[in-house]
Amino acid sequence: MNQSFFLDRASGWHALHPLTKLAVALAIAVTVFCVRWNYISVALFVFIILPIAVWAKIWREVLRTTFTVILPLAISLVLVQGFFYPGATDVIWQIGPFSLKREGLEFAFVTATRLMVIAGAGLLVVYATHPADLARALVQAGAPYSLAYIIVTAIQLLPEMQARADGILNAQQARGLETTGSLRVRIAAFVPLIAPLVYGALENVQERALALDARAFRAARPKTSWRELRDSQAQRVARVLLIIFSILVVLVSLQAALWQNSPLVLR
Amino acid sequence: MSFSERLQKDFTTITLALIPVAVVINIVVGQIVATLKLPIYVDSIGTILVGALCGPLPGAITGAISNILWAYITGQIQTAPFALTAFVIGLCAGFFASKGVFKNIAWTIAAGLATGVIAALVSAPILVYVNGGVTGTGTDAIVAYFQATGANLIQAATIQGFISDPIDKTISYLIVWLILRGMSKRLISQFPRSQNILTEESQVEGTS
Repeated sequence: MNQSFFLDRASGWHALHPLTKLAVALAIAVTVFCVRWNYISVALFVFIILPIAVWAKIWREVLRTTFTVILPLAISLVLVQGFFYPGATDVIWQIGPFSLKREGLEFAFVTATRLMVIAGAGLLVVYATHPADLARALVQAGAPYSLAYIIVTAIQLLPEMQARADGILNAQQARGLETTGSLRVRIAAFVPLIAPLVYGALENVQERALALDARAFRAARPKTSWRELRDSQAQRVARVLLIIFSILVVLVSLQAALWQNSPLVLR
Repeated sequence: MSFSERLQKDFTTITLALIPVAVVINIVVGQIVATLKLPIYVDSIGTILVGALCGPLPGAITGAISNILWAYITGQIQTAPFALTAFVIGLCAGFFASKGVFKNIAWTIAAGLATGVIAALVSAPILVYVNGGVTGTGTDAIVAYFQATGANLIQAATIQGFISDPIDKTISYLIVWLILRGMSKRLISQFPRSQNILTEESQVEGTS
């Protein structure tokens, strides 16, 4: 598995400050949850997410990942909610004892396309922002420095631990451990696989702590960073506007919901 | 002790060193479980471990970061809202551990069940409002069954959670109990909440 989805491509979207990209994704996500129009997701995906993805030269990856991630959910939604949506009455197709109903399908469509937008908006950020840059940006915006340490260390450790997990799996299989077959066999295989992994990982925690202390990591002074982030006045203004827009969308939709005296159900 | 004092006591350097390791344990163990095709998740062992050794808030942060990082590295962006559930699992683990549940296997099981029930209650609204009640996995059959027999979306999602989460969290708690049994007392005593795990006499033994 990839340690990160980040694709280093030369594009205007990639060059934006991580928080600007995050603000765009946030505004899209808020809009898709707040606007009660069945086709808002499709509109956002076609007219906002796709153009940005084309601009960022990542549209193939965004489309492919969005669909592979959302497809199982979409199938489940059609099967579960299409047939068993509570209170649905408008039958459009009868198979034996089961009936496909219009209200359920509508709910499945709205939810699946909304998930598509959430995934697409997130992937715009994920494919175009190195996680370490995002961590750096969050620290600049006032998040504790420890947060950046945790994220960056975890990302570096992950491929190491995955390699070790593969090694343990191979070693235990070579000793005759069965990892396929009945449920009982697979449960029995679980402990011999994770015990060496976890104890191995815990072993160097103390060393890491000593290394951090030796470098005065917890000193309350500003730290310099190896990664430089480019920002601009225009982007700072854009971020503020996007956040104001998101708040307004939430407030207006709350008002609309109260006006119609409807509970805050989605749809 | 005030809240901020407690927080400073919990966030020692060794806590900070443990959290990223625990995040990776969550993710990699989750992947091993998926490889073995076991019908559980067991993706919060690191979270529970940090809760037990370092306190509720470090545990909660471990859970939330694991979840968001998982969304980031797998592209499963729609799983990110469940960071809230992971956060609460960390809080629960820290709270129950401070009551000494990890000193006794029966209490460990009870705390696992309780955490599972709480996790199900936190997950259900997210599952309904974000995912429309489904996960895209086999447990959707449970949701379909209860909706077909008259439950609404939130009821069906909650029942589904009550069926799958307590088992999953109890297994996770038991694994953490086993891990803690196997850790050296010297290592455990380095962590801010070591008194959660060590009994009086073993503490003396560990520090001598």
